[in-house]
Amino acid sequence: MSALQHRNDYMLRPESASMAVSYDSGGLLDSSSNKHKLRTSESSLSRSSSEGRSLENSLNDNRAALKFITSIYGVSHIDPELRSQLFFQIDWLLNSEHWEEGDNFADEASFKTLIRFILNSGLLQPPSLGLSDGGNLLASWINGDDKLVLECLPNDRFKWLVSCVYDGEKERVAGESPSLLRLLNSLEPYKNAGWLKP
Amino acid sequence: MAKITNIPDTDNVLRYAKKTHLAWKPDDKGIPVVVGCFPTLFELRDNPEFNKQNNGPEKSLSVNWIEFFTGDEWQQLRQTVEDFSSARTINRPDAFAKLSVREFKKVCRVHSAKVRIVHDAEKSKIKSHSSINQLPQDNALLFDDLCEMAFNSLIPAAKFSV
Repeated sequence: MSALQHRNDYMLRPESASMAVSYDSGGLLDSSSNKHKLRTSESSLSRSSSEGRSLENSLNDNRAALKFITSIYGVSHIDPELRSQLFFQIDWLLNSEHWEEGDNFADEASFKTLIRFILNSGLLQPPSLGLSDGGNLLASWINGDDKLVLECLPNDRFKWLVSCVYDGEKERVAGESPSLLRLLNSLEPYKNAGWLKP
Repeated sequence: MAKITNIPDTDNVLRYAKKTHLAWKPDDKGIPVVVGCFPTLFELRDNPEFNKQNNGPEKSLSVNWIEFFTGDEWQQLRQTVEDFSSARTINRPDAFAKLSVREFKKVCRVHSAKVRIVHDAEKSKIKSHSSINQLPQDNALLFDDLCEMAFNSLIPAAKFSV
């Protein structure tokens, strides 16, 4: 079983100098009258209102729907490790502990677009996932100075950005693709960047 | 008439980065680590749910003016986050990008965009509330540059005892 499947905790780890801080330092907002607004893990876990239960149920349903889509589309095509990491990211994104009132759930049609990209692109690495305010899945693949960022829209449409370094010079291209095929064609010149099979 | 003040180029603003606008990757122990920011961090909200609650799409990018408060750098940051949290819930995996007004404008100018960064808290519960006006929403390369700038200045919300 992957190490990911054992984790239900998280940590912000420093990836840039400014992130290199102690997360257990505490006390910076100690006597603030606004403290109730700063949600701790403990207080969130103890929420027991019917509203909280309903949110938890809705998020459970949303998580289950995305995992079901993954299974239907990719049961025999997605590498088990990649699938495990996708599930981990789904659980991480749609976690009621960090859910804010008014947040949109992940759009299932957008997630289908992402899965179809993963199945057809020959990806070498699992993506980092995010969510737009409208509920569209965001995905990024970062490999050193090279990166691919997608916003997956319903019905195989994409907004995308590629950034690659060639001979020390950065080249960037961005676009909107009306179909998966068009996106794959657009990414063809960047296949050596490290996220797609060359 | 609401009082609107231009924020000096020497000052800084804080942009709240929700967990879902950050790119996460598990490390070899399975612990999620921030590896980047998504362009949505700088996109104005424009979706049916938001528009319904706010009578239309967002018109400017909300930030908070750090030097509105006095004290040393950390005292100012802490007060800015406290101020922000008076109206918004902050979760532990969220973060804040500390953005230099001068650098932000400089990046925008490279993309032929002239933004205005103003303190406009008159109608807000948040005293340090400020806005970035005229930020183009159709320039993916500008957003990419801003994301890089934000990523290099991210401060985890957890640092503020969230």
